[in-house]
Amino acid sequence: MSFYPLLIVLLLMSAVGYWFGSKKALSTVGKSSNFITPRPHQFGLYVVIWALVPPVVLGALWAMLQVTPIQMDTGAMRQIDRVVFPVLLLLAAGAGLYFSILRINPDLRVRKTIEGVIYIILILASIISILTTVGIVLSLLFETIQFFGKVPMSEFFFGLTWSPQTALRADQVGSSGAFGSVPLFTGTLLITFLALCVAVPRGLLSAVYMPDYASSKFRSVVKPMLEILAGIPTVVYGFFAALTVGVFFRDLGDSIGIDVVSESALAAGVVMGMMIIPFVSSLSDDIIMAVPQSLRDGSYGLGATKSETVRKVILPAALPGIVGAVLLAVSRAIGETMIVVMAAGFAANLTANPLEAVTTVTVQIVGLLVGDQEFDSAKTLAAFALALVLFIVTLCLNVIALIVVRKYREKYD
Amino acid sequence: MTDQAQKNGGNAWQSEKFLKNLTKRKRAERRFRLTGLLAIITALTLLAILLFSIVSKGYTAFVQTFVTLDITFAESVIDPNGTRDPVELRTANYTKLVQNSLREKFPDVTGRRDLRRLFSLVSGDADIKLREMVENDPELIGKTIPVSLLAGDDVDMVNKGYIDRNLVEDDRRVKDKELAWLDVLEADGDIAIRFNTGFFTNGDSREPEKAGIAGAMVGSFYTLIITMVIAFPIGVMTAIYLEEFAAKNKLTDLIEVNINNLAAVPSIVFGLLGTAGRRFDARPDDIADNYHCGPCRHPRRTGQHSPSGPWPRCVKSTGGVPPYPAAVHAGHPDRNDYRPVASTR
Repeated sequence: MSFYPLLIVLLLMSAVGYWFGSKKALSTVGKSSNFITPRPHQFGLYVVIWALVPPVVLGALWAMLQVTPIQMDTGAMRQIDRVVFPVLLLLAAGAGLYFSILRINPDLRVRKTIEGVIYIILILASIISILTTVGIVLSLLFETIQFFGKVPMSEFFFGLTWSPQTALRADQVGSSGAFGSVPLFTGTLLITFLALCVAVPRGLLSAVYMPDYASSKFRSVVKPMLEILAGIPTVVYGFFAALTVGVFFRDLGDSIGIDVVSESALAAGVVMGMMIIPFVSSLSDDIIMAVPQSLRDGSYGLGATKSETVRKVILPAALPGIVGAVLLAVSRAIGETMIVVMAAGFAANLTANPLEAVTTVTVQIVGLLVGDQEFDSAKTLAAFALALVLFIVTLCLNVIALIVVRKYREKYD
Repeated sequence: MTDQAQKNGGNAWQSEKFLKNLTKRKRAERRFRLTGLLAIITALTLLAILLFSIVSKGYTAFVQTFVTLDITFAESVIDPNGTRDPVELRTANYTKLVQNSLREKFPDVTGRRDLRRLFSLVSGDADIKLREMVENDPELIGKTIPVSLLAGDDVDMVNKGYIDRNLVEDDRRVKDKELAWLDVLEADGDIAIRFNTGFFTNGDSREPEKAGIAGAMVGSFYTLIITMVIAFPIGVMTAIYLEEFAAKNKLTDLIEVNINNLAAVPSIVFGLLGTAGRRFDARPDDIADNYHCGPCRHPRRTGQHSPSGPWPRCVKSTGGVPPYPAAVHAGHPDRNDYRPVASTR
């Protein structure tokens, strides 16, 4: 039996169970020795739980078995899949239904069971996030191990040339690719640095300015406008960087006699900085707000001006939190894909000059995976290795930042 | 302090040093305030530039150029047998009507190349509109009426001012002749600009004037729905668990840090998770379909598959197609028949 008929039968069974359960509960209610008994519909739910949980558990186990590399296609296994398993499922549901209805009496503590099931569902829901992380790590790890079987680790981490072209046949020219990832990481860092140069001062200053200086009218207008920056899809930023900012910097460079390529790191960095301004400002805003009013009052009481209070009291007090906010912004900038794909170059240059084209880790991952690829070549597997490094770097940044911010919050709680 | 205070008639707040210091501090205050304001203004300016740039570059896509031509719905072209058979009407050569009309309008155009340029003044989609008109009202056959047709993409670009007429002809996408025809049409009042409804109702197309975002919108919509269905219940349930049920312990901490981290994982890493996940996804049908087998990403019939590759499972664990040598792969059995080749043929 296939999935949907099975599901419909199970649902019908539980509906019948609900009806019988609540009916039996009503008919037996007079015999209760307790004053408080659960509502009839709770008995119904109890029956539904017993009708649904065993088949769902069975189904989950069966699905798990199918992912394992056991040979599933033998005739016997197919027979089990088509006939034995659905029958087993329905039997389990029927048994659950029957015995739970049998057990119903007013003193049965069905609410405890219902609570327990809800509790387990909630736990499962929150564990999905952990499973996702594990899934990411495992899927990247397998491919990365494959990759390091083809390319030595030392070349990947310390090599200075990145040229992932591999030929189809071994006898073709240039068949050996170079997989030194250093230029990618320097490029990423360069663009991230430029983005932070744009975002951190503006974000921080606006976070300081808004609560202490701005009138509430100004704030109510300007703050949502700044938040717009965070809501713009990154692909739109990409267009802006590639078609407007990149060209603008190139023309500007031409007019003053400096050679600026149109896909310069500067353009991508500035636009990415724009994107993370609201990120920095809203995070630091929270953090500055968390500085206790008593510190400000003390400072004002000593006769300090607002700017002195901000510079000498609030900022030092909020520093750890701000560092955390900046780290989160860094991790966001490192992982940003669409802006750099559209605005930064594809050629891996090892340079610190923001006027030249650099490439980033994310750009290369996209480049390696776009189009038809052989998934057993080092070229494609390199994307997974890059992604794993990217994941680890952002993970470390995030965890450090989260811990810092949390410690900071606890300090003033 | 007391010495100075006494010197100044007992008021330290009026001492010269203090006042000087105060002026300095007030100036610093003003400077700081200005810097803050400046930061916000630059951020808002950047936003304004962004919006202006996007809008100014993009708004013309919402309108389109139309060319009005006198179309003769000649019976000899549409329905030479005079049967008014719906199949006949549906399959007739309506492009010919457009071409005839253009030839009539510009009788002195000859030569294959020039004619092709002339015909490209109107979008290749024009015949569909004429066909629909005739199908709706077969009475039109034999009449000559002005019909407003979608212009070709080059005409559209000229009309919107994106092609510089002053450029040397060789550098220009639209040649002098076409511009001359356009001027004639313009002078006769046959060129109009209208709202681009096709942009919202068409799918993507190789012809720019016909391209629309309908397909992309449907894709985005489904992605949105599926994301909502997955994220919303799980997210809310997790939040309820963490806030209302969970004890303060290591596991709760781990879940919380982990969720925060997931939010900050670069989206491209999630993309790779999707790619790698396809290794479990290759169905026998995919293989038989000459479709891409998940991560292998190459058509099965090209014979490029290397059985010793890193994806033995995608072949082995799904439908039992054993890792064939390339030559066997090349002649893979038909759709729905995915029994091992060796045993069936």
